[in-house]
Amino acid sequence: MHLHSPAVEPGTVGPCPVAPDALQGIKRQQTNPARWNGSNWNEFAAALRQQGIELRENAAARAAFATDAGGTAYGLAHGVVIARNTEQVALLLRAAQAYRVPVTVSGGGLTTEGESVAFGGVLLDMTGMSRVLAIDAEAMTVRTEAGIFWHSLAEELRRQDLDYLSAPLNLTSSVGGTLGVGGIDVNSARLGCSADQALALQVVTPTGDIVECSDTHNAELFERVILGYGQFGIITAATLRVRRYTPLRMHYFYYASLATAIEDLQLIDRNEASDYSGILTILDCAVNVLVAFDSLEREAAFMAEWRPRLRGYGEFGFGLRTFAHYILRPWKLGEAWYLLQRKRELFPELRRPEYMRDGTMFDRSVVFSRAVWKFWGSRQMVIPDLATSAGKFVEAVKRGNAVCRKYFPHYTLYLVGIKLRPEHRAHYEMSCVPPDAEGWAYGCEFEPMMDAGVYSRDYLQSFKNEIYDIGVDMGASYYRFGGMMKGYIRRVFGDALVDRHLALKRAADPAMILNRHVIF
Amino acid sequence: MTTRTVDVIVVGASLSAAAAAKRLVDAGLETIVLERKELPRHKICSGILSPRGHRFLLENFGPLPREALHEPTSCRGVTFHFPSMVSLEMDFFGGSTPHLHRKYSDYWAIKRSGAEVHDRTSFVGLEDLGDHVLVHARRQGEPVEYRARQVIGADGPSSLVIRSIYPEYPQSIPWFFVGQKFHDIIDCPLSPDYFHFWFHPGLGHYTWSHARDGRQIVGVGFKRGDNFASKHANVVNYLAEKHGVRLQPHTEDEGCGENFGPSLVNRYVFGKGNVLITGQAAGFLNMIGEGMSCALHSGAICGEAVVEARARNRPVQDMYRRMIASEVRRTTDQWNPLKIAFERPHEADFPAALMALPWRDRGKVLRDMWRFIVLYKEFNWGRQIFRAAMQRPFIGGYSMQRWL
Amino acid sequence: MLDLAKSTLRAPRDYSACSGCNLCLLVCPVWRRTHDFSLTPHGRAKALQFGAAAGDIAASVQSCTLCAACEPVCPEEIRLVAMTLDLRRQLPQPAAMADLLAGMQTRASPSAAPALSSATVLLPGPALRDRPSTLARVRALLQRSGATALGADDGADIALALEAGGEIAQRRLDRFLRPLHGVKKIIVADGLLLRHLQPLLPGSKIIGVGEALSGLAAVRSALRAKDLYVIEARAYHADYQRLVRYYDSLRAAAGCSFNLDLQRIAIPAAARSLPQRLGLEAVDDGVQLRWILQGRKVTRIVVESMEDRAAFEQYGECPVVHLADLVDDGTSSV
Repeated sequence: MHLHSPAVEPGTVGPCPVAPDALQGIKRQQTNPARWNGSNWNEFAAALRQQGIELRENAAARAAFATDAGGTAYGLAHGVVIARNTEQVALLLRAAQAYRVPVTVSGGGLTTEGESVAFGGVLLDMTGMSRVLAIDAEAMTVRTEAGIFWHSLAEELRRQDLDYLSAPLNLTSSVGGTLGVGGIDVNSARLGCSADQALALQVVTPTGDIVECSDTHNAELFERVILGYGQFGIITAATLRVRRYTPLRMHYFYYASLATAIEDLQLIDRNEASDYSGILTILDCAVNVLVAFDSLEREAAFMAEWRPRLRGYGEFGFGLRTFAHYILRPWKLGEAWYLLQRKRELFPELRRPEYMRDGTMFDRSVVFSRAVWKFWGSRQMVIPDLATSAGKFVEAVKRGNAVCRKYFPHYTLYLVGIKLRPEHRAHYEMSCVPPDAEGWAYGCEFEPMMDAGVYSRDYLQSFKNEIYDIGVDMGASYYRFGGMMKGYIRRVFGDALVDRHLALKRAADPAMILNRHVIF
Repeated sequence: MTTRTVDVIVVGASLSAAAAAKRLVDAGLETIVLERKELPRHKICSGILSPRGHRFLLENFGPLPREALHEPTSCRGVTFHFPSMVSLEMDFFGGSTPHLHRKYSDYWAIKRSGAEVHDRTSFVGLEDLGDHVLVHARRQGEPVEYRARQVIGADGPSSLVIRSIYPEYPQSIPWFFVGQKFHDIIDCPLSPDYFHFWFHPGLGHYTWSHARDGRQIVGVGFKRGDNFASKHANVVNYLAEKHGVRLQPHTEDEGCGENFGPSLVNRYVFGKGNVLITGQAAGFLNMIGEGMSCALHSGAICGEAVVEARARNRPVQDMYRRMIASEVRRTTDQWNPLKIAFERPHEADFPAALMALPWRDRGKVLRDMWRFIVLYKEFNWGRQIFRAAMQRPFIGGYSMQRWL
Repeated sequence: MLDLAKSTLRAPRDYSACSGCNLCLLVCPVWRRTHDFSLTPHGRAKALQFGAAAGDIAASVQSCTLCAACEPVCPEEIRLVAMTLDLRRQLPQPAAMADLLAGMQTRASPSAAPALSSATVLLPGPALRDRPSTLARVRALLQRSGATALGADDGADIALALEAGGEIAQRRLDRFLRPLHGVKKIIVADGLLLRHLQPLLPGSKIIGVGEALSGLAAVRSALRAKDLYVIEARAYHADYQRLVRYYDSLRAAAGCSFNLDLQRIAIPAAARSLPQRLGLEAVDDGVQLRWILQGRKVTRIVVESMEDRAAFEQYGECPVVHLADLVDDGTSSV
């Protein structure tokens, strides 16, 4: 029996010596890396200091980055460097390459699989580079340092009545980190993933060269860095498209069936009937489709043309329907109680009067993001996801939902469409965008409500594996496939593609120092 | 005598210790592992790791070095043999698993954990002083002392750490003796690719055989007090007579005490105060008598609990018990008759193998299994297993009230 | 036996509850100035979670301005101000505190202060006392809605000791509080003192000077649409849930703009670390003031606090007035 065995890279597992068909061909990798052994550290540290780079080695500074938002992977860097400018980052990478010291880059630290946790080596804290460099209201672009949080960028843009196109609903993802993985928002069905708004990047390559790149200039590097999971360089600055700021008009429709809700969502997306759209579930039988509009005209057009075709209820109608449902099923009283609690706590949060003026919502990202952190944030967070083509989506979500039901009493599904840009096809290779998607890709995040609970890592990992197995089975992709989930990369993308990227990586990063444990 | 102050002391240098140490070291906690013997040390074990344990090793420690494996290097699954001479061959889910050479695999894992290891250092006793624990030990005869925030007892079934916090515990559970002898092979029709197990009440409570490094192991487990030599001779004769296994007289033998019961009846012992118990010491054992995979996982959870308890500023026992619930479910599910009947809690498909038999043989297997189970009647586990099985769907797990 | 069913894992509202969302960074003036994660509430919480002691993060603990902007944004509802003050108490006292504490000893002398008979009392604090004319205007304005007494003992030393994490003698505290018992409404200029008085005097309504003045019709009507109204951060964040609505209604009524960010958190103007407050380090308000003014078309800055007024005056972009200066006729009645 022959086993295809790629060359052994640092941090990966070579051909399994146990048996050629071990684990039925599933290529397991060391997903909980061994701490880097620290060789050459002192020489490296001295070299950095000689060049005037501040390196913090005290326990408190390192401890602050011991885990990420997922809270299940732990690791300690040997030292922490706060990124201050591009030249400093370039010096750091040059030294790291020479001394073969791993560099782990962290922005908002909002990874859930340990991708921004340093298992030894240097942790580079990109949030030190958080300045907005220039806003061009004529060309509708902004140039910003890439360590900035999306919300901080929004604050600056708003002073000129501008807004970014799309960003993850959590306020504190960094721009660079998001461009490296994708990023979705409730307007992605119309505007694409967050990475699509990048026009040009300043990148420090793993060998320490500072390169400006875009679709027309150093396009190859641009293609690899966008949605590149930090493998091919550190984004230090980005030029992004912006738009005029608009408050928005929000509507919620309620469904008792996930499949119906998804069909209606896809109907809305296909016809660009709304400016924002997405699905949030509360229970399997309480599914919320949200739509929103940038203008009164768009809202009116939707209400006239599309609302009658949707099968969802308004809040009152759904309330009646749900009441009837539970009256007939008294044994499900606990579920009804949960639903009621949820409505009592969550709904007012989404309609806080200080964010509402004359029926329009100001600062939707603030309202939603704060609710996300308040109701879904906890010390441990796992958010496995599936990204599929439109046609496979209903089945993928149903199967994933069944896995959630098995593992957790309460969970939320967050579903959005992502408009694909044909001209960005090259960016999407080996990313969260499934290769078979045309027009739109659809993503579903499965988020258990852990609240103050605590689970063993093994339990959470089993849950994630079961969701991800669906992806392997159906030919989907994932948004979070790095770090602890990287064992799935070869399974979904196949050896040929991964080996090609690995060869590119090896050429770009000879010592394999940059974000070593994330993908390869 | 000097006192060394660290974050955590782990007693024992086995796989559960390595897993716990890995989590602790990753989170930056200064950890010392105490081992009585000189490393690498010999360990009595079949070495057949379940697929889940294999996955854990790969994902946490990386690829296994060749020296950590016996010959044959892998095992495809388990074969059950019944007195009615029906045999069921079952492959593990997820393919072959390694046949670990525990002397070197454990040494490899503990080194990969990154913890500081003090071997030839035997645990003597401890004092839990609330905010820290004093650990007394002897290093090559000289007394040494450690001061740690938490102590993890990962020192196997006859745990000295358990004895230091619950002196009466060892008397409260039934003990078994498990022994194996190594024979050169004249002729052995038993497939070397499988681990063989006999459901035969006349042979012993736990009777097995498998190939290792060119020899055949014949092992038998029984209630403490019986005679190993005669039990073993009985098995060898049986194998010769019924399976045509012809072996030379044994060249080596070894044995140890085992605690079978806790996983069956959900009577685990997880410690007290700042002292945590994990691995087989806590009572984890799979249904095929494999303890390594649950030792690895429970050890890791133990380490995670220490880290989480510190980060959340919560009592460590409380944290550990919440987190270990998932591993208790996994392990005790394997002994739960309802789970066995309606789901697949094991890592090989027994129901499918059974259904593949002609219906007459199915009947024989079920009859033989019942007769085998009756052998355990004297421990009065039946009612406890039944109660645990009944409460499983209602509380979504097994009662924490029964843990020590 | 542990009873897990009854025990809860919900961590106490301290550092251990931090789940790492970074929302506190978005509003933190120290973060804005330094972009140094270790100097933020999140940085401190994470360091503590992974084993640091107060002494290991002393510089971070002292750098906090106690503007309290982080507290209302924290989704875990951690009492971040209390957490920082608690850490300060675990650190050695700054040398400059010795004089202050000696002063407190003398003030703690048991000469009984008479109970204040007025229904409303104003505790002005040193900055307002240093500007007697403004203080007089403030008082005159407040008199319009009822007799307002001036607290002779405004607890300035207590406020500073609180800020520095110094120990406050119980006798001193008692002497300060005694005259305030039974007072219906206490108007406090110092936002940190205000926060700490609320639980100590549960029978009194305790509000900031800004809220007291901006509630007056005369003051409201003097606000203009091109004004930038600078809310004093500490008092605002100490009673955020109520005040965010209050100022939203003020915005609707007066039409002026505020130093609020998109999360409706007040961007602190004069935000000072402990060493800066104790005069051990130079003050640099430039970053904050620039950020407040960036991109805004403002003709006048209206402030609630004297510290903010001084800061903006020094910055000198446009005219600065205190709320009390908005209304002309106040002084003559005093």
